[in-house]
Order: sequence, then C-alpha cells, then structure tokens
Amino acid sequence: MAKTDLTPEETQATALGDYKFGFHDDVTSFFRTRRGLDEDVVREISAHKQEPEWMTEYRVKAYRHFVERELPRWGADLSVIDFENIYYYLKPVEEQAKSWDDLPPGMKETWDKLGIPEAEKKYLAGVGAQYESEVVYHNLQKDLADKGVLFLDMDSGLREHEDLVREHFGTIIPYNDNKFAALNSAVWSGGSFIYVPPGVRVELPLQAYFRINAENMGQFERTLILVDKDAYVHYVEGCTAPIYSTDSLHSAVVEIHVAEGGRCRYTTIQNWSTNVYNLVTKRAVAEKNATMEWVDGNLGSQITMKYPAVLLKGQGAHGEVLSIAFAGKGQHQDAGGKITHMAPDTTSVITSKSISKDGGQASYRGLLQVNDGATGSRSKVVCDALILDEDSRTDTYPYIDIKENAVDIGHEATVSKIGEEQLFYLMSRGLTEEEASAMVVSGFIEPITKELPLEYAVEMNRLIQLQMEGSVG
Amino acid sequence: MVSSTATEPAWLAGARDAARATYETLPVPTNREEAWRFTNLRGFDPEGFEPHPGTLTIEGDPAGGVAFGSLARMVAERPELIEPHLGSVVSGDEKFAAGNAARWADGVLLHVPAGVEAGAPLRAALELTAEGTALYHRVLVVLERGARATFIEEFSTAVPGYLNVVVELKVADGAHLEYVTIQNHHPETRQFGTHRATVGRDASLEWIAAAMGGTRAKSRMESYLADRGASVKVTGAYHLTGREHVDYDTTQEHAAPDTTSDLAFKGVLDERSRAVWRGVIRVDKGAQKTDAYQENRNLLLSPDAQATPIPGLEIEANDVRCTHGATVGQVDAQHLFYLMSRGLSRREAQHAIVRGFFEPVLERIGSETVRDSLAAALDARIG
Repeated sequence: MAKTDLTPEETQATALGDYKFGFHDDVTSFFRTRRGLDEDVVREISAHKQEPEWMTEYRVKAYRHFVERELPRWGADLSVIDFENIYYYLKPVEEQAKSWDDLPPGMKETWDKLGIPEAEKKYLAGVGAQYESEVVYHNLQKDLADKGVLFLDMDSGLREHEDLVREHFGTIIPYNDNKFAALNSAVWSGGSFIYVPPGVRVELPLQAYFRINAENMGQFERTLILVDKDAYVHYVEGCTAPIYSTDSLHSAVVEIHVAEGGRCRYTTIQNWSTNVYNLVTKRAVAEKNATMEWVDGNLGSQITMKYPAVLLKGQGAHGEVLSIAFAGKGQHQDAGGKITHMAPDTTSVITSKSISKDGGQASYRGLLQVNDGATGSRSKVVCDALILDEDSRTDTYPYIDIKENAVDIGHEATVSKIGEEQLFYLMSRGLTEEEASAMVVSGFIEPITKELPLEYAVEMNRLIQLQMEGSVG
Repeated sequence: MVSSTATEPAWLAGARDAARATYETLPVPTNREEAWRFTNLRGFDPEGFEPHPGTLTIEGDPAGGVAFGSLARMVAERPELIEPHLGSVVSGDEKFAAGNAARWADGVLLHVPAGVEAGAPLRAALELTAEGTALYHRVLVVLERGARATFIEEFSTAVPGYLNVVVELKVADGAHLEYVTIQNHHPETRQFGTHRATVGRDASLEWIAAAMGGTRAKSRMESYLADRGASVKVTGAYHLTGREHVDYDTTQEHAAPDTTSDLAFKGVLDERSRAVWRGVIRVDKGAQKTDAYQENRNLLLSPDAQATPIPGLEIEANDVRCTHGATVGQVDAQHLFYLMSRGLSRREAQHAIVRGFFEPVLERIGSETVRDSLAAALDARIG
C-alpha cells in the first residue's frame, strides 16, 4: 500500500480526484455461486468449504434472519442495493499461496501495484491478502508462529482451531445484531483469525488487504481477533476495488476479544472505489484493564455505514475510537463510534474528524453509554467537521445515554470552514491555494494520522492531497 | 366539548375538521419512531381523558392597541387577528399537534401591532383542575414589525391529567419577543407540546422554558430563523425527582444568512428521574455566516437517575460556525466537602451546589422580572 507504480492508463481519474486503484485484472475465477442469494446458495458455500454441520446451520439461521430483517431506517439510503444482482461467493484460485510468485500472474500484478509484497518485507509481521471471497496469500513471521501466535484466514482458522472459533464466533456480534451482520453470518468467507497468547507482544503490525476485482461482487470477510492476557497486537487493514458502473457490496463482521491487561489496536484505511457499498459491523470487548483502540479511516466507497464499538466490560478497561471520514462527490460517509461503559472506572475517548467537499456528505453518528454500576467512568467525545464548499453537507449525531451518576462525560463538536487567515498566511509563504488547503486539511486530521504507523500516515496524507486536488478554483 | 363550536366561524370549524381527520388516521406514537425512542407511551390512551376546561387566568391589560386575552373570546371579537396566523407556524401533521388543532378549547392570543411596546410582562396561568381530564391549550403570539413584548406562561397541575399544548410564535422583522413557560406538574401528569417560532429579519426571540416535573412529558421547541439578522436565544432548565421523565426535541433551523442561535439546557436529576434532550442545529443551503451553539448540561444526584443528551448538527452551508457541547456529571465531592467544612449540612451543601449549577441559566436571562420568576420557581422546587 505504501508504493504504487502505475502507468498513466492505469491511473483513472475519478470523482475522488485520482483514484489509483481503479484498475482490474482479468482473472478467471476457480469457482463461484450463481448470481443472487437463497438458502441453497448459503448451503452451497458451506458445502464447498466442507464446513462442520454447526457452521452450516448457523449460516442458514442467519440467512433466514437476514430475509426477515428490515433495512435500517436511519443513515444512508440503502434501498438501491439489489441483493439479487450480486455474486455472494467467488473463489479466485484453488489453493492459498505461501509465496507471492505462486499466484496467477494477473493477480500477482495487482498485489505488486498495491505495494503489498514490498510492504511485507519492510515493516509487517504478517500479511493476509484477500481477493474476492478468499484469502489467496497468507504469511506470518516464523518467530511469532513459534511463540504460538495464530494468524490465519478465517476459513483455515475454523478448520484448524474449530473449538476456539466455536467458543467465540458470533458471541460479540450475534447473527441477529443487524441486517448486514446477518448477511455476513450467512455468506461469510475469508477474513482473519488471530490469536495472541498471554504476554506475547506482536511489535510489528499484522496486515490484511482486501481487494475486490470482479463486478457485482459481494465481499463478506469475517474476522475474529483474540488477544490473551497482557498480550498486544496491531492489526491493519486496507481495501480497494476497481471502478465499475454497477455496484459492489462489502459487508464485513469483525469481532475482537481483549483479555485482562491486553491491548489491541485495529487500523483501517478504507479506500474502496466509489461504486462500493461498505456496510460493516465491528465490535470489541475489553476485559479488566484491557485497552481497545479503533483507528478508522474512511476515504473511499459510495456509501459507508460503520461505527466501530467497544464494550468496556472489565473494571479499568479503556476504549478509543479515532475516526476520520472524507466525503467527496457522490459519497456518503456515515461513520462514527460506539462505547459502552459496563464496569467501574472505565475510560474512553472518541475523536472524529470529517471533511466534506464537492457535494459529499459526511456524518458522525455515535453512541456513548454508561450502564448502571459503571461508577467512576470518564469519557470524552470530540467531533470536528470541515466543509470545503457550499454544496457539501455534514451531520453530527452523538447519542449519549447515562444511567449512572458517578461519572464525568463530555462531548464537543464544531463545524467550520478552512480559515481564511490560515490560507492567507500559507499563501503569503509561497504556497498555492490548493497546496495551502491541503496543508490545512492535513493539519486538521493530524490527531488521527499521528496515531498511524509512519508508512500509513504518509499514505493517508498522500490520499488526502489527491482528494484535495482541484478543490479550489 | 368546545362550547363555542356551534357559533364558530366556518374557517375555524373547517380547520378543526381537517385536523380531526388527520388526528384519527395517526396512531399514538410508539418507541419505534425515532422521536419517541426514549419516551414510552405504552398504556397511554389520549381518548381515555375527558376534556375539561381547567382554569385559565390572564393578567395584564396593555395599551397601545395590543390584543391580549382568551383565544376563544378573541376568535369571536377579533377574528381578523387570528385567522391569517392560526396554524401557520405549527402544522398539524403530528398526532398531538393535530389533536390540539381539532380540540383546543381555549388559550391565549397576544397580538402586538407594528412598532408598539407592550410594556410590563404579560402573564397567563393555566391549571388543570379535575383529575384524569384532558386540557387542550393553544397559544398564538404575533408581533408585528418592530413590536416588543414579554409574555410569561405558567402551567400547573395539582392532580394527574393530560395537557396538550400548541404554541405559535411569530416575530416579524425587527420585533423582539421574550417568551417564558414554566411547567409545574403533578408527577403523573402527561404533557405533550409543540412550540414553534418563526423569526424575521433583524428580529430576536428570547425563549425560556422551565420544567419542574410531569411524567412522560415531551416538548418540541423549534426556532425557525427565517431572514437575515434573525437571532434566537433559548434557555431551558429542568429539575426532576421521583420517576419524572421529560423529553425535549429542540430545533434551531437557520434558513437565512447572518443568523444567530444560542441554546442552553441545564438540568438536575434526582431519584429515578430521566431527561432526554435531542437538539438539532440545521443550517440550510445558502445560510452562510450562521453562528449556532447548543449545549446540554446535566447534574445527576442519584445513581438511578438517567440523562440522555442527543445533540445534532445538520449543516449544508460551508461558511458557518456551529458548536455544541453536552455533559453529564455528579456533585463534585470536593465542593461538597468544602461547603460542609464551612458548617453547612450535607443537604444544605447539596442545595447550594444545585442552585449554583442553575446560576448560569439565570444569568442568560436579560429581563430582571423574568429572571426573578424563574429563580423563584427553581427555589420553590429545590426546596
């Protein structure tokens, strides 16, 4: 993701400015289910994966709930999604590769263009690369494997560690949590399964990269991360897709359990093309003195609805959500975060920064809840929005629900435009208006980028600059 | 139920019929509707309350052509002041507002002609007197260009009942209105109200609402800043105990450039009470140079009390300054300790802290008379 060498033809101009990941490869898939979805398709996916009976039944139960469940009546308009026009399972290759060179040439080229193999060499402890419905490449540094760290795709996780998966799968996000969690539970494929043993610290990030290549594709990865006592892991995900005139659907479920004293950081840099509907459920449980941090960057997609959540279940647990959303032309970023204080002395911080331009709509939607008995809880929610032109829109809906009196809860939000004095100052120092605006925007999101590993911070700033191109006239 | 129906003018009878038809098609709202998510009406049947007039006392006899008095009487005496305005600010497309439009028995008209100052504060007091009855109350305030007035309304119920209120405030260009409502209800009274103001060019509205009880009470308070230079200041205070429950929906809609709104709600919640405040700042397209603020601060005195602040911003213009804040906290143990070390009992110390919490609310109020009225109501409540 850090390096992209693209020919001019491959760099397609899009509504976002230049979207450099809009190319697609002609890769013939190994197997796929028919277009559309019914119970037979669900069973076919499970049978193809040779899953245990309980998982097949779980999928079917989830599918039935998906059919009955209404679309959410808030947030973005999802009525345009044509569930019958989507391919729900598409297996690109027969076998997962252990080496990038074992992948079909077209597909390898994709990963090279995205810079993943190179990044792996330089600064990652492990990489999973998902192409359509399956993880086609997976690798973990040997010393981590020797310490008992598990980093597998979810399907392999289920095959090789069935008991552990069965114990946790669907316990944090049940299949009936919402319509899209139900859909994911029915047709899930790929995603990551991670287990970090007690006391083990994974110092370099583990990265998963999600790529949709086909048209009308539905990608439903499923991730389960288990961080044991006093362990630490940083998981990074990136996502891109080609530009097509018809829509694709990405609907992931991510469940995380952080045991006593453990810490997990989950970083997303979502850069889907603007024909992708990105409807994701992410939730973590933090036990006693554990820390869960979501760093959630939403730059791409047509519509995103995603509110990473932390349930602070144990005394002294800490939760953070850092959210950044950039909504350009035709985009609606409905992002945010949810924190539930369930135990005494728990603390949380939500920081949201959103930018809307060229008619884009950025929304912060959040929930901060303090349950009965969560005495001594402290929380701070800060949401700032920047609107770059008069055609754009920003909304802020921070729900706060406090059922305990021994608490200290604060929320602040501001909406503003780029200050003329700031622009004037920067331009007086020789910057063009465009450069000056990009610099102000980079400064605005700095509280988020400074939390990213350096390479990603550079990438994030570069993406912001790309999206700022042509923003002032 | 409306004694004057037979003699009412056709325009009003027609409006009532239309509202009745809407009212009958609309169900009683449930928790499934976003606006009613936190206020459960299960078991509440508005038809189970027999309408009863209650007691309406109207004080003040302003000069200068100001019309101030019973709305029912004014319909007969001054229909030309009412017909063009009644129902023009609050639409009857919501269950309780439609019910009010169909059934209102009486209320208050305040009409101030252009350039006239109504002088000393005008007052009205409404009391629901018969247990288990319903009272449909309607208020229409029209300030013509450059007019000025202060109007203080008190609603009280010593017995449980159902109060349905609609208030329409029209503040024309350059006018200034100060409007105060103080609710003091029996803990089992239900009050549902829709209050909406339109504020014209360079006009200003100072709006104060205090709630001292009432179960399952819900008030919509909407300000519409219709033209350049309009400004609105909304101040809310609530003090709840027992199982009282108050739910506010406030809207500050900026429809024109160079408009200012400033909203602050502060509340103290004791025992098992609950307050819900949902506030939206809406900035319409083209409403540049909007300056909007909203805050909700809650002090919880009991571990069983619950506060649900839901601030919201919906912004469609880019040259704006919009800020909101919400906090929920408890009595600071150090403050309590300090006051007790100076010889106050725990109860006295807490009283002083609660009173101090409301002080900034009182300080927002420009008029001394209004400030004193609210301070008296708060003191009586805090005890």
